[in-house]
Amino acid sequence: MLNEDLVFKALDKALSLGASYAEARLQSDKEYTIILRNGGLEAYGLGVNEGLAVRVIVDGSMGFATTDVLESNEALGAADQAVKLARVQGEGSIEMAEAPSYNVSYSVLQKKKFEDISMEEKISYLEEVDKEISSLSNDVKIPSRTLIMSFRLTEKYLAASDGIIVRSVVPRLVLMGYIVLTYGDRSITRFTGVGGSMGWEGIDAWNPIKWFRDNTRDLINVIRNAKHVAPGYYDIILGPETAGLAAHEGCGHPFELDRILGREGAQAGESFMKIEMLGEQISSEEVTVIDDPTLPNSYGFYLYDDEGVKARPRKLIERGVVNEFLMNRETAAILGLESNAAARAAAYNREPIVRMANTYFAAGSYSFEELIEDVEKGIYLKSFGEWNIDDRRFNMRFIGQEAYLIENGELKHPLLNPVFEITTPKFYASIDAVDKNLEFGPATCGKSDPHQGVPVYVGGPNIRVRKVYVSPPV
Amino acid sequence: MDLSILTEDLLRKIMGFADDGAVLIHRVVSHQIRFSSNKIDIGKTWRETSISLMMDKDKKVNILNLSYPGVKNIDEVLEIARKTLDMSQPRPIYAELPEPPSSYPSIGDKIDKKILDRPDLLADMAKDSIDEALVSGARRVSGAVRGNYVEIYLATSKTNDVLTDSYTNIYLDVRAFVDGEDSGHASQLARNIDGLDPKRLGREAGEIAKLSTNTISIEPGRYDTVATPNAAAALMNLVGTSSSGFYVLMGRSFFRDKLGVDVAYKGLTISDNPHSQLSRAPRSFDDEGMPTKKNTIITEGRLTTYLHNRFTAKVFNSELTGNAGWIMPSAWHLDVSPGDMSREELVKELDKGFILNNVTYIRFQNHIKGDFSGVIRDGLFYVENGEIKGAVKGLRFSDNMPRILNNITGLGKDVENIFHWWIRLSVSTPSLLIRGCGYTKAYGL
Repeated sequence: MLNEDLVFKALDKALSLGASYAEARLQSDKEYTIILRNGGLEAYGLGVNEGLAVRVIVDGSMGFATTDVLESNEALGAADQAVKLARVQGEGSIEMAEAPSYNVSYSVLQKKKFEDISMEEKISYLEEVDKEISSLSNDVKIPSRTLIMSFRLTEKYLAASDGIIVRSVVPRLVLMGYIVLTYGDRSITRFTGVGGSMGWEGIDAWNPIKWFRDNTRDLINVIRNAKHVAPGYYDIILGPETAGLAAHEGCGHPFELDRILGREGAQAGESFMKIEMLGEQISSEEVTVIDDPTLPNSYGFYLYDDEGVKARPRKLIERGVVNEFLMNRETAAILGLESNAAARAAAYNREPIVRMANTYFAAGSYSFEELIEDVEKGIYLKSFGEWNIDDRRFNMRFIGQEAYLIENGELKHPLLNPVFEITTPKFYASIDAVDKNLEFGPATCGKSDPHQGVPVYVGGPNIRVRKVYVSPPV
Repeated sequence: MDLSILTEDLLRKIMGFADDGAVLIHRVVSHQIRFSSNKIDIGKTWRETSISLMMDKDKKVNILNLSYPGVKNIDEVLEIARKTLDMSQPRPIYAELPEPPSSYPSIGDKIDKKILDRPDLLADMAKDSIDEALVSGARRVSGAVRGNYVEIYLATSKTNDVLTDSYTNIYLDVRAFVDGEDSGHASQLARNIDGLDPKRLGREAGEIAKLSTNTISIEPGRYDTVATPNAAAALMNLVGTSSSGFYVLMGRSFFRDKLGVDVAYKGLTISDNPHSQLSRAPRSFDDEGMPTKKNTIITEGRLTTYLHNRFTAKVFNSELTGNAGWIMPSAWHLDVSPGDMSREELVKELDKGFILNNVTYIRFQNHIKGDFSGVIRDGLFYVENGEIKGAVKGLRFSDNMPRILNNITGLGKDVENIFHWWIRLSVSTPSLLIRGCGYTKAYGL
């Protein structure tokens, strides 16, 4: 149970010291982790990360201080430190956009509480997954299998000096696996998994055993039968995993207003997007990209952000047009807009900055079969291995892990790591169809210094990208 | 609360039900100033105490990580841990906590109190680096300066006393922009405020950014490359992570099955050296209570050791190396041995090649093979016959780590100590001359 009085003591102290704005956030993250390697228990851990953060604006400069000693004098000390850290900067120009006041609570209920499931059952489940994977080993070897089950219960109590109070409780469960397959001189390393904002009932909902069995079977087919891709122009169908990554990296990140304004310049980077591109057509009308924190049971779920602003789905691109950026109160104020609730802090000891939640291409009207039926020469890039994108989010690269040749509308043999390297504008301009399937998976999005990894969903529908250049690996 | 006494008390409680146990407490006080577009964005301060408890029973191992509030419910937490330990399973490969030595290495004066007491100096350093970068030709400057004071307390069921250690470090990361992709970057880590040179870093970042404005177009392909310390650190950092015995076992290492094998250029020697004056973490003992030491990972091109904790050492039938984390061993600080060539002499070796100043977002396609690519930023300069012809934009560094290690043919003497947001390990390295590096280009450029 969080000691909510500390929040108000810190707020009062900060205001009495001259802060024009102050917020205080108590946060507790309780995390259970079980690691199984090759069927044996490698590690079991319980982590509790709990403390108070105070953020202030004094004379237009921002200060942030934390303490993990949850006592009155420490809360007051944190407020004092935050004000001092703002003052050492001199006068600044930071303001917070206006936001409606709320006094609300929300929580995601676990239908089966993770804490109530015995240790034996959890380990036993991971063992079953491992057995399922290793039973598929034959001439294709699976010499290393690392399975990680992680459950985090996040409780927050946030109050801001302009009357905002938000309490929340969100559980998150993931089951991830890192699997190594070898076949002759070929090898594949695959990191994948399932998860969301749920309790143990997620295991029933996601069926991880099937997930890892299907993934491993597909990869066995790939490692055994994949052929080199001939360099040239192909139509590409990106599966939900890869399309989701493209939406996250190629739309979500460059639409973060702090990046556009340069605040991440020395770290994750800036953006090729400019403020004046609001309203500009950058893609075909088939493309709508949404970032929606309110997706029930999603891994990036929240209803109010870490500045206490009510969340809603954000249409970043609507029918090909740049519709809105991701904003917190600080960046929205610069444009004279209201925040659209993108402020997230990864833990009590991190400042809330502009983040995504669940970013994806909106479903279209096609079936998967319709996407491929008129493709003469193409590639179905179902999952990726390597990927990266430059810090302006302009120049992206994916290498297929599970990929198949398409000829005259039919899926053919798997391909060996086709490389797809393209600029973001060219990518968006080349999308001509989106199917109606939506699939999501959990991921951790990294940003900032100190590092902040926040849970997000990555996924979406299958999308078709016309005539792009593909090559074999270097 | 006296953290030595807390360490002892917690170990006593653990040993009430465990065969073996350890308590590790970190107390950290940090200040950070972040800046962008020539102005400070935020000043931050942290005061944190993290408490880690490990308990072994019947070859079962349980680990707890608590922030300070967890202490108030410690009996309840330990009761849960005890029950969980009973229900858990023995590790397939188990080793007892190691017996400690009679003494530990002394690493000298490791504390600069100004880092702890004077956050205003950090703001001054940020402003100095901004001003110098602007004078050098940049239009916008971003970065972060952060100082840390760290105290460590460790007691295991094998140590007689609580082991204590403390140190400070400070780093500055400056990125200067002229426009768009015309950027330069410089970073440095030091153990005291006077060891950091914000003006030099600002000047270097500004000069690279300015030099980047002269853009020329070069086709992708294979090119000989001089990786400056900033870029070399990003690549050598991968040697550090891949040398962890845990990653080798997990299949996330291109050093798998390579122990005792020639894996690199004969002139390349890379050590993990926590005792270096440049180390970000100058620890005298590891998390299992073993003394830290200098371990030479690559000796004149040959892979000579993995880095171990008690479990990985048992698997590999190896001596402990003093790199223990409780789950995985890690390097503390990498030293890449310098050569005798100046950076200019290395560049003169390039008939047609590149000077590479930064690689980030490195992602592996296959960890075992070592195939990867990384994003180039902050200055890629094309060189012909030893002379810079212009800056090149939009290329990607796409290669293979074993090939890179084998294709190094020259080492500079221009050692810099690099640490920044992308590299989580301090790396002290000179420039590297690497033959035939792969560069690719995106469709649409």
